Amino acid sequence: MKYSLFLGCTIPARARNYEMSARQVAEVLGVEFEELPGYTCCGFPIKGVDLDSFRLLAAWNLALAEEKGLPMVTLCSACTGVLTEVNHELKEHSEMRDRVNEALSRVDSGAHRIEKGVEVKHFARLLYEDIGLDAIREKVVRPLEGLKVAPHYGCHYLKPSEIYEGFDDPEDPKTLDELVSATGAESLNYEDRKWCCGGALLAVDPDISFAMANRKLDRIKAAGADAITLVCPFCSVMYDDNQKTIETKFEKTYGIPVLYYPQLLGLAFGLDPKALGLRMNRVKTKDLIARF
Amino acid sequence: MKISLSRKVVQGEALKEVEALSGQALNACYQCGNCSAGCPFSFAMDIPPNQIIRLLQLGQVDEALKAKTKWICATCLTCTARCPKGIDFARIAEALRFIALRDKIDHRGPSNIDPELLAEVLQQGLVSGFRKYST
Repeated sequence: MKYSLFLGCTIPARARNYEMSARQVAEVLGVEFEELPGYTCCGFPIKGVDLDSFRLLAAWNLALAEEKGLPMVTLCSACTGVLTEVNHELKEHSEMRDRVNEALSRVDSGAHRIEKGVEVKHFARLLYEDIGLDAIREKVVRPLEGLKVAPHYGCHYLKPSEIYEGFDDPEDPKTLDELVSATGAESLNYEDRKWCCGGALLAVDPDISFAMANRKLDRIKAAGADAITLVCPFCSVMYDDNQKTIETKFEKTYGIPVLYYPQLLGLAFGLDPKALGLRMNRVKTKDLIARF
Repeated sequence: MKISLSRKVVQGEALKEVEALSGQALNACYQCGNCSAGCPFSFAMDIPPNQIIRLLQLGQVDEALKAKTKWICATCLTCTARCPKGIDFARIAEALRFIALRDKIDHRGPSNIDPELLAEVLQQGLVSGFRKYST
């Protein structure tokens, strides 16, 4: 099984542990990644500034993937949302595609263009749909029995649902829960589990952003979680990188490790915690690792 | 708040601009309030999403632009998933941000950002924030 891998910006810069663990578990599952040299930002940060440039950035990356003739896999939920959306738009609207191709023709001597688009998939969706829970369970050598994990779906992994063609139910999601259960861990139900992490407001008003994350951490703690698992680097920035800040600000104690799903899966696969980047997580994972 | 309504106001150009930028049919909204009830950020908004749509339906674009709501919307799409009429409020908030940025409403250039915030916030958060902060 082969895919082109789109890493985006946040992951190489701030979430190496996500990339490392994804590559590790992919290898165990026989998933091959082909790199996309020359890829750029997915376009998400400038969506609100200029829609044409936003589409052009996404299209550039989609064109690179299309040339590979492979489905594109993404780790970041925001990249997944944007690339899926633009891919969808360019497939549906030939006029828009022509306009984008016209702009692409002026870059790199017109070496890249969109013909029919590609398939874009979040890595967690790939695990769920293309690999499947049974195949994942078969590779589990160290079941994470007794570990209570709170899954955080985030927003753009499943929404807007129309561009994801009905993958999972954004109002009652289950894919991440089932992926957690496949590791042998217990997937926790908790209040407001579908809530946004608040990361989108970090640069607008950090107080609101931290208040959001704090409310959710409260609920996760109340549910008795040993760890949080998630599939988006920005959500991790909120819960892992900023957990200490939130604790200080709201005079709380959480100390809940935050693992990217591939890190959790990698532990169940018996992989070396260091190779899964577990030392890079801000909230210490040592005690959790020692349990298995 | 006193508002005056006339056909000119209700079917005004500003309103058409919001519809064109967002791609959303504002009159499809029948004010059930699901968007505001489910919004995890409504606690921080001065005017909840359904009321922003109501203001827009009545052509009160300036009032809608004055509200903080457009900046507080995190595009988490909870409302979008729940709207029985298929309206994407996040796109409406985005359209209002576009207009606010063009018209230099709430304008704040990158050079005016608090150095303390600059030191704390991720670079990407800042880049992302420019779409909301600057022109």
